[in-house]
Amino acid sequence: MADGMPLPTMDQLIEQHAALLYRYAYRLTGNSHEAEDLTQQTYLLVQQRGHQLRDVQALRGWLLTIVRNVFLKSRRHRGRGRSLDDIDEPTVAEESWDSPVDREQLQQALLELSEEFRSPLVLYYFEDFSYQQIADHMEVPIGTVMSRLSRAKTFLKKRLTAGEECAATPPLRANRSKVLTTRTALSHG
Amino acid sequence: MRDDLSPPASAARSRFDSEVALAMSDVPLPVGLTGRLHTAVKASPVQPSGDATAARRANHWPGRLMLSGSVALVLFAAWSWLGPRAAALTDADVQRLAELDLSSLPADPSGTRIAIPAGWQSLPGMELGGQPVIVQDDTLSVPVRPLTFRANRHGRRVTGLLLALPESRWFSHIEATSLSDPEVRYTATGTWAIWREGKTIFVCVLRADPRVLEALQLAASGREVS
Repeated sequence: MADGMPLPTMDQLIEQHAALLYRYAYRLTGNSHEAEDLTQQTYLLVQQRGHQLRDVQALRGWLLTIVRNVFLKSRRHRGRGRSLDDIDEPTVAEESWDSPVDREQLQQALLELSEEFRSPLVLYYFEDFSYQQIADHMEVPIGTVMSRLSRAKTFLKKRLTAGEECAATPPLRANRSKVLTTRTALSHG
Repeated sequence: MRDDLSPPASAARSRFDSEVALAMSDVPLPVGLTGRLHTAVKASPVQPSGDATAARRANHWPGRLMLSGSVALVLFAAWSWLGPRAAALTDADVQRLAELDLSSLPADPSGTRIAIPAGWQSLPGMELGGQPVIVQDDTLSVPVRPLTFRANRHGRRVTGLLLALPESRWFSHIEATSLSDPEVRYTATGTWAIWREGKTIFVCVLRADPRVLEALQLAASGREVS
């Protein structure tokens, strides 16, 4: 598998994955300049540490992990956004939804979430990651991913519902998960 | 809550999921993005990953094992001797420094003097903070010199910072040898110039658009700034 397959060249990596990395970065930051900067920093790190990738088939996840780690590092001293740990998980089946999602409203809602809820949501919808892949990406148990996704989707749905001002605003949570300390993609052997 | 572990792109996906997925991937790409990435990567003189693959294949595992052990020993010795201060800084670190409020940080207790670039003692418009401050957390410890720069008498005073690092503390090799032709990074928070003078890497961050950096370059070259 991996050792038999050559790694793509940097040119190929840019041509094949730049759009993916930029879009992920944009959804994390909500800002086109920051997203491009994040994408550029990711490629510079890949160029420097590409030899650390052992499994070419894991390339896409590896690249996205680097984007996320660079993003986390850049945001270490900023505000956290909203955590949803105290919101109940939905207990009823999703009702029908018959209106298109407003792009700006979606991005605004994403930015209101703390990163540990935002990232799985983006990966789930945008990249069709499985729960296991998201768990690997975020280095948390799969149950945590499922719980966060469930809460985040509930929040998103309320936030995107016309006229609803997110009445059940979940409280901020003070303690921090270990997400901010994960830098492994930059040092994986 | 979903209890399957498969990707969500299935027929069972709800209308809401489909609409969000559609909106989520609807991010327009900036014109010229890949071109700028190619340029940035080519400007960075690090071995491309494709070459690294070839090098990796050429290694046999016993040799790699010995090499890994040796590297681990050297790294451990270096860590024991120097601690986290020896960590090389990357663009991401500078980005983080650029976002800090330096006025809230303590002065560097070691009293280390930060070298300044040639000619900056009398550089018009440049005011260097007298005492370096120390930025320190679990991964980084670096003295930083705050600065302000005003391009001309009527210009706006912009803030920034100066780093002077031994070349071993910068993550990549820097070719540029003067502020007149530095490596430049453009970010949402400002503009940086990176260059080397001898064995010292200077990083000058200006929290302003690129025109202010151009004015600084003009000032450093001794030309008038209008």
